[in-house]
Amino acid sequence: MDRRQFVGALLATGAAAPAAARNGFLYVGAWQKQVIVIDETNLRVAGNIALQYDVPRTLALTPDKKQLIVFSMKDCGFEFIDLATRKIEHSFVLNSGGKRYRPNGIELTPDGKKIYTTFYMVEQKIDRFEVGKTKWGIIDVASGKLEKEEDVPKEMEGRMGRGGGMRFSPDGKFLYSFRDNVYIYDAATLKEVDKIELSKPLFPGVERVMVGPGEDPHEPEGMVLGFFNSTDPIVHRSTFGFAQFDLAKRTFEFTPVGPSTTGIMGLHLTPDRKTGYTVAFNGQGANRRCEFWTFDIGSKQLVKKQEFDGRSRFDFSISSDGKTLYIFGAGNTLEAYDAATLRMTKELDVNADMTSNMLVRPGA
Amino acid sequence: MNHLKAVNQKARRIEDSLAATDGDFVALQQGNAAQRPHYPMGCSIVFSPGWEVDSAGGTAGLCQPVERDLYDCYISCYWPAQVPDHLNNYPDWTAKCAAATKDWRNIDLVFP
Repeated sequence: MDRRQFVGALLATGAAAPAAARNGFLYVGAWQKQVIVIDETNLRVAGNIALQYDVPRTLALTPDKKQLIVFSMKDCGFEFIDLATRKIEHSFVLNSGGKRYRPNGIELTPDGKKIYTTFYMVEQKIDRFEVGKTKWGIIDVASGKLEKEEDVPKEMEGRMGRGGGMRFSPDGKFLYSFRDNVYIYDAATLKEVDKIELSKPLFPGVERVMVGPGEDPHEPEGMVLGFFNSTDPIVHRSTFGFAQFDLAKRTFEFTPVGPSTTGIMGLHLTPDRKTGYTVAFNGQGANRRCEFWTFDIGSKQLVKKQEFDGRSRFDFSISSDGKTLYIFGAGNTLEAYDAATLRMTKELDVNADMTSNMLVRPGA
Repeated sequence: MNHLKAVNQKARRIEDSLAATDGDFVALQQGNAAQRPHYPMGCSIVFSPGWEVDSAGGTAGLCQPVERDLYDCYISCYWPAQVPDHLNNYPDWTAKCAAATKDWRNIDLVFP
């Protein structure tokens, strides 16, 4: 039996590798100017991509999933890295002269040509720094220039906060901003065209919707699933639940789950979208407890909890096959937990402190 | 300035008044002020805990070991009194230090 016949016989007996094998790569920014590449197959560092500007703070993918965008704060630098060759293909900085830009979250248009952000500018004068108002900004990727800026609505001044969930409608015409309300902007003019007032009759006392930064490699286009928090106006009981948005049809659905906790992290889903995981906190300071929570997405029910030794500050993600949960950030170690048992299986020392979010890319 | 000594009642009242503001006592007569932890003066110019005490006034909420918190304090200049600022004045302070818990001896000296 030659090799081809042997492989054919294996496939015929159903012994081929499972379709959702964990063979992707993890990308995370690290000290001082690098992106660490981790091979999910054996959970080892597979390479380092040296950056030219500064410490990476935010990683994102281009819409075609072929390039990694690395944002660094010092010079407001953007570097575009080809994932196949791991080389920097395009880069630019926004800061010039005494003008320094401080963006809060970035979102690419569906065609990948523009970056939308909210930012404020710090200008160095002869005797002082002047801090400007929060504004919307549109950055042209090809030229690396801030081509449009617009004041945020008065009601949102001072409330833009860090990061900020933003999504484009699939046709790229509207920009959704998820905050205390869901604000919908015309992407061309940056003028508000609609607003979903969460505290109004949709669900009593909804305070805020939390959506992730769009890192999910399996997220269907135009569909967003996140958490919301609400407080009822009578006895002020705090509740959390699922908020689901269809960005094309502009429809939404709120499903309450249970009493709120001290804090809750983002929702991460398995590739088949049937199971979701998050980390919930109870208590504060020395009394804080960290728990993994497992949700059945079909029924929107919490089905399992497991306490774990969470470090004081960390980030959370899920493997490309949905079978491993990762705890990382605020240090040089990444912890892997089995998603079924919620028990730790491995700790990886990447030998550099991690400074950004982590992107998970499925293998070929 | 301990060379001046109060010699009359008014001067003594001024001394007492000043001493009361320096003290770390909370009088019962101050009413229903919420109990908050008292931090030593001078630990931070933004007066936000982080490197000494956490938001509950203890140390359990800090990163452990404390070096794990170094870069987020440094890059974002969040605690500029405790660490040099990365964005403006000392971009290369930790250029030779990748993992702070292991390489902290390579952190450069800074003389502001």
